[in-house]
Amino acid sequence: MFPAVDPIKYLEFAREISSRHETEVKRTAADRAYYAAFLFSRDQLASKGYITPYYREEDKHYVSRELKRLRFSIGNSENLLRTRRTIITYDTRDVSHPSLNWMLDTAQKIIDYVKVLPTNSTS
Amino acid sequence: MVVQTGKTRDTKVREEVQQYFYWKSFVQSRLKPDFVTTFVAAGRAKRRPSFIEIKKGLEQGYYKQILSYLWKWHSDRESFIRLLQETIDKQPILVYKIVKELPELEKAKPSINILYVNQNSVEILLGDKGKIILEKVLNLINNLATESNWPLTKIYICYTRDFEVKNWEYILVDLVFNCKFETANEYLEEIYSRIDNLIENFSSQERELIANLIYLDIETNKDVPSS
Repeated sequence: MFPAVDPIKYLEFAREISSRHETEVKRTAADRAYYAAFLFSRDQLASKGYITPYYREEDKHYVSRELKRLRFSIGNSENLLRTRRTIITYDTRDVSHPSLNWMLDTAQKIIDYVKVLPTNSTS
Repeated sequence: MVVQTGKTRDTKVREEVQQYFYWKSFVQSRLKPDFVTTFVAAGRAKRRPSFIEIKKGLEQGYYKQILSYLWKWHSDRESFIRLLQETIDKQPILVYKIVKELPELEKAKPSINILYVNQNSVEILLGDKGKIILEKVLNLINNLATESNWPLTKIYICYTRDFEVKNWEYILVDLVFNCKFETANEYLEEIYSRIDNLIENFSSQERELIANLIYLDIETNKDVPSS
């Protein structure tokens, strides 16, 4: 049984563990940073009437596209966060960039933007 | 040494030595890092011999030597400056010519290399209207990068099938920078700011197209795009 989660907690958790030196911890933090931004965006965009969530992989497409439609820089940043998270997760060799700070800061930037989005007036 | 008529040999030698030291101090005073950076950015942006040809008056004899200096800079800027400073004694005229041409090179606006990967697929996905949007984005990036002398060496335009979500296809505009990731990211933020402004004047159809079809990414010091 997994109780409901506030995705922002993932980012807080990522920041908490980010000071540790172990690579597996840093990669976990990077992964959680992405999911904080993506899941928060999805849930907010859904509750404000911008998208209909499917709670499946396809949501990544709809979130990315909708964020880009609202603000190109935010949507593109979200997509870069996603692609970087994939590399950090699957590539077990050295991954030189981006830094974990970039992942955390980008996730925060996306969350901050989505937090203040008004409800979709056209829905 | 050129011998001028009507002057004693000693006078002529003295004048030429004075000229030599004048040009030497002139060149050394010009070898400041920001000046060299501009020179290198202009040269690197083209990476083709023809960029030298736009500088009229540059003698062919120095052409290959200047190119070799440009290539040396790619690995180590400080070595490049040191090389010029060392060369002043041996070839003051060459270094003078390099440094003299710098203001002209600053005015030159070489365009960045744009390379298509799967061009046919790119064009099919974009359609006519999408191609116009892409053109606007590329012009924006090109103008920004050349005016500000960014170390943006190439732009790859790639048709991309997303690796996570089935049937999600888009065009990836991959910007290759010759600098650290953090610096490239700052340039990307500047591009974002300009694109966000550009989109303010888009029709709703154009906004849909750019939202659906065009993504930017950055590469640093690599030749092959990541997607």
